[in-house]
Amino acid sequence: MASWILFGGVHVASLSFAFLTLWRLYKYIRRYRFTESKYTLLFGFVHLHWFAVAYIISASAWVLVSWGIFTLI
Amino acid sequence: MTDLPKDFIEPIQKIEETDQDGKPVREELSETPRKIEEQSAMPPEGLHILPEVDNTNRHFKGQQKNEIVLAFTRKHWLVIIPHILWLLMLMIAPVAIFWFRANYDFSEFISPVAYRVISGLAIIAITYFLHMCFLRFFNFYLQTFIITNYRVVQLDQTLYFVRNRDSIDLREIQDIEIHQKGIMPTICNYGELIITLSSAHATKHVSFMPNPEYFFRKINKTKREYITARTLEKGQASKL
Repeated sequence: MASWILFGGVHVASLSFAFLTLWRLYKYIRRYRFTESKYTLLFGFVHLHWFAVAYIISASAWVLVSWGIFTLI
Repeated sequence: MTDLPKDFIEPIQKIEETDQDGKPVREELSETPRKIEEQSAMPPEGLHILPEVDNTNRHFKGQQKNEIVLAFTRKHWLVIIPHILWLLMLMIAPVAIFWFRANYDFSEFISPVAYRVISGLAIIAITYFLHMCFLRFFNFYLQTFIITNYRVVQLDQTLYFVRNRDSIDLREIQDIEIHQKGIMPTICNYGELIITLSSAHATKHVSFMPNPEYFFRKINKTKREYITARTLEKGQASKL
């Protein structure tokens, strides 16, 4: 039981941190905007929004994957 | 379209450049003449000052009212490669665990309690690294090097904890050097930009600068135009 409480606590903290990070990020980039081009983007095409989407998907998917790992035995 | 004096718009158009491939470089300024024409009022006859466009805190915190961003860049993509590799390893780790479980029975090697403890610690560690990796990606986008018509600004900030801003006035720049040594900097076209200031011979180092040759030329050209504009302004102000 204690391990499940710890498991839940870790993921609640993890998801809260992810949302807080994205909130701070978007608050900043909405306020200070740059016109991006292939010379300024990562590898010439990777937008910051793609990383934001990947982040939220990864953090959510990790909850499921880690649950799977935790219950293997 | 507002009829601006020819010598008023000309210095701005001159700043548009091409990169090393000969292709035009898209910059903040490429849209600026049109915006200036739409937003600004006619300057007084014979007074060649910058138009009244309020850019205060528009592109970065601390941007001045008449300050125009001419070019900006982030660090070279090589600085982010280790974090991308870390993220890939984090993705592979669970797959490896599931594969191992599918082929072997864990209970032969480890007791259920020990497994819970180890997997719990691993989950905490992987969660931490996952967030750190993405924070590094976001910070990569926030750390920018900006050239404006007044100064060179380096924003060294992160989402949490760090908010450094280093600004060098164009007239304080005495000398600029670029250092590209080694195979990787030459192949991947990055280098170190060293700006020497006129005051006390202090230097400013900007490492992992992509396309350093372009920014070297850009700063030199902007500085020359800034000094020319200042001289003209002073001359005309003294006439008035």
